[in-house]
Amino acid sequence: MELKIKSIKKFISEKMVQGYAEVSGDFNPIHLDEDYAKKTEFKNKIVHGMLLISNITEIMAENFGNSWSKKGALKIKFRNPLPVNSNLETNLKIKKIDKNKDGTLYTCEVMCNDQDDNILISGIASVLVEE
Amino acid sequence: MNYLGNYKINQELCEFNLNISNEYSKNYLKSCGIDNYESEFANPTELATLSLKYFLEKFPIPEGSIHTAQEISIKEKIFKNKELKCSITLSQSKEIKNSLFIKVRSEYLCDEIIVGFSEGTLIIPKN
Repeated sequence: MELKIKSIKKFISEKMVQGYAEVSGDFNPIHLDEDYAKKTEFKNKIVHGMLLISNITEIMAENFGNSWSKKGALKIKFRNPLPVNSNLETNLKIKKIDKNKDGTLYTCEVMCNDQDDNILISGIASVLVEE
Repeated sequence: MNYLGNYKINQELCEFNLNISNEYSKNYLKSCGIDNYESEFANPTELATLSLKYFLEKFPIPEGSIHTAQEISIKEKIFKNKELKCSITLSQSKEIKNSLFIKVRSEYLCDEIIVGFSEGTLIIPKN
C-alpha cells in the first residue's frame, strides 16, 4: 500500500460552524453568539471541538480510504480553542505499522494547529487495513 | 445540584436508537467541508456527532463547559442506514476546585453486538 502523507489546510468559516451546530445539535452560544463570546475568556466565538476532529476523519480517509470507516479509532486531547473564521492545518505521521492475521494496523500521530502554529488537538488515530 | 449529579458512576444516563442515514452523512460531511469522501459505512466522527445530538436533547451541557478530550473507536463496520442502539453512561465524575470533571461514554450496538464506542471528557463549571 502506498501511503501519501500530506497536511490538510482549511479555513473554518462561520457558515461551517453554523452547519455543524445543526448536525450536532450543539448550539452553545460560545460557538454562535458574538456578544456572548466577547464576555468569555476566549473573547471570540470558537469552533466546536468535534468539528475540529472531523479533520482527522478527512486526513485518515484521504490516506486510508474506506478502512477508516470500517475499523478506525482516535484518542485526542483538545489543547487550545480555534476562533471562528480561522485557518486550520491537520497533520498526520505514521508512528507504527503492525501486521497481524486480520490485516495491517497503522498507528498515527495526529495534530491540528492554527495559523500561528499553536497546537489545538493532539493525539493518536489508528486504522486496521484489512488484507 | 451539579450537572448529572443525580447519577452514579457507570449508571446509564439514556438509551436511544440511531442510524447514520445517507442524508445525515451528506449533511455532516458538508458542514465539515469534506467533499471527497464517500463510504457505505459510518465514519467514527459522524457517529460520535449524531450520538452527541441525541444526548444534548436529553442532557443540555451547561454554558461555560469545556470539552477537553475525546475517544472514538469502531470495532465492527457499521453500515449506513442500519439501526443502532446507543447506551450512554456516566463513566467518571469528580470535583476539582470549582469545576466538575466528567466522562460520558457511549456504546453502540448493532444486533446486540458492540460495534463501537466513544467517550468525551468535559469540565463543567459547578453551580
